Amino acid sequence: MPVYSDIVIIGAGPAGMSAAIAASNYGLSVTVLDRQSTVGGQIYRNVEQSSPELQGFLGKHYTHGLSIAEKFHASSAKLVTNATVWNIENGTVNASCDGTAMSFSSKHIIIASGAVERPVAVSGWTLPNVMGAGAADLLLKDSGLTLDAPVVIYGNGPLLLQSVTHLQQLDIPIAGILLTASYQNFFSSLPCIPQALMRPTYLFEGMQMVLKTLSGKAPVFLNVRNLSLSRGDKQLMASFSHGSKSHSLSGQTVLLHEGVIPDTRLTRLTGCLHNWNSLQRYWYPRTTCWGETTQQDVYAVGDGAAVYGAEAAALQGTLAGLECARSLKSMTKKERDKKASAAFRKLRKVTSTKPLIDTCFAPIPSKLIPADDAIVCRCEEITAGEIRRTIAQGFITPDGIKSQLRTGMGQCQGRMCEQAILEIIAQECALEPDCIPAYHIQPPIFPVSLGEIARTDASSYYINRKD
Amino acid sequence: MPKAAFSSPKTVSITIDGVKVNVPCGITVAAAIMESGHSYIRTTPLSGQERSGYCQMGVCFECLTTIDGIPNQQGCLVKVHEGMQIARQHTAPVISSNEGS
Repeated sequence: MPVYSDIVIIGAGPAGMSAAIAASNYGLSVTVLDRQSTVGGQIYRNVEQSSPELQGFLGKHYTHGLSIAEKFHASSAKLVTNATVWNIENGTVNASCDGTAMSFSSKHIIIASGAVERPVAVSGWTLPNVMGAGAADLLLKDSGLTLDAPVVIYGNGPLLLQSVTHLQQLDIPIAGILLTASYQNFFSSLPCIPQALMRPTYLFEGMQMVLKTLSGKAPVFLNVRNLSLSRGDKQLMASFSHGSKSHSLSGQTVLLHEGVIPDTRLTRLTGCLHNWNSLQRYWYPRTTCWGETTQQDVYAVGDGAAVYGAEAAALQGTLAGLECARSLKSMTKKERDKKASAAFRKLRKVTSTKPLIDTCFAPIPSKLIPADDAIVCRCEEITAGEIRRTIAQGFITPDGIKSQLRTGMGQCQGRMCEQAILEIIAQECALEPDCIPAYHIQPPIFPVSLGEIARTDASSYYINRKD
Repeated sequence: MPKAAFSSPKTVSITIDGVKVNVPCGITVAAAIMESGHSYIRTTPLSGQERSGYCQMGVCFECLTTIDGIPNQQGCLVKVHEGMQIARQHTAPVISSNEGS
């Protein structure tokens, strides 16, 4: 029999924990599942176990996670860690918990799966010591590890600036900062500044990061193109074009970043409808202000629903928790609205900077398209050139290309190649990506042993069947 | 090699590819392999390319490792414990028929 609770929440980051706190406050039974061994998601990763020195270094934006975690632990919500959700079907959530098959049923499912770094498929990105800029910060949060220097940084986005700031504060030599953004990004974002003034402190901190990045010791290149990485004698070599010139830098570590995108595996698996964000170039589930998706009883909140950052994620989580409480008759509509008004007010404030951030750090589509020699599917080692040849043969959807080349059939199940394939098809066929059907998502969405699937309680399927 | 700047001063004793090493308490398997001076975490089943973790958050599957005898574990999601036996995976691991039973 599946474990029953009123609400199952997937993800114990700011959104998931806040939803759990709100819903359990109104007497609902809540189960929260997370893949990691501790709460916090990626933004507050390892916050409860991190050393005081690291907490001091990362500052209040990181340690804020401690207060959310504290409230969460004080609530009646049940936490299951090391739980990898691999299917949601007919209201039942299947998870692999420390290698044991578990299933969970509920009246409502809240998906708070967070965001992932957009994979930056450039030539040589499969080499060891090439990683996401966000990944470098996760290594710091989770293991207190700092990188091998010198570091070459390439791409665009607020997290990239944060990584630069961290490296500078730690006195880790940076060989070069290669920004894909151009002045155009800056000019286009100017009209968004008045609205963003609702959040002066945030804006000020952002400006400080930009100034520190530009005024550091490391050379900064704007509007960089054609990055290609290779293994030199003892270091990694980064070759790129800047203006009419070609340059080359060497370093021990290369960090790549082109923003973060919602992890839509679960919302797609459950059949929710999605919209395309043409500025930040990602799919996100269609939701109401309460986090309701187009699927009944399925909610999506936090960066997995659209990237607004940790503060907004927590508020969205609270709103979804309140709406679940209302729908399960734990509170009236009037009570819900009264409790929600403060969260809505704060949400308006923290989302006021979103247009500015999205425009200023909008990825430039032509720079997301890998060169022919770049491996796109890391698992099956398929290059962009092979994908282009397959498109020329008439396979113009990600699933069509998958059927020919096995892209997306390796262990990451398409997580690393999907965005680049979408961009290649869009370029080759002169289409906007929203005209291109994304990979069809089917269970299991994470690799799970056949033995474990066999041990999944089949009865839960029949008990919860609606048809 | 990456330095343990903010890790716990306490260490645990583990083995990587049969070699005993002491690594900071509470770090991940992927971090432990990097911190011990290894230049890569696994080689690919198809062509033997060397790979190390790209995402550190359980998405890229580049840090697949055999941990305490169980193959294909995501090293960035598992923390080290005293006596842990880690084996880097070279090409495709062999999964025994009674795995997980």
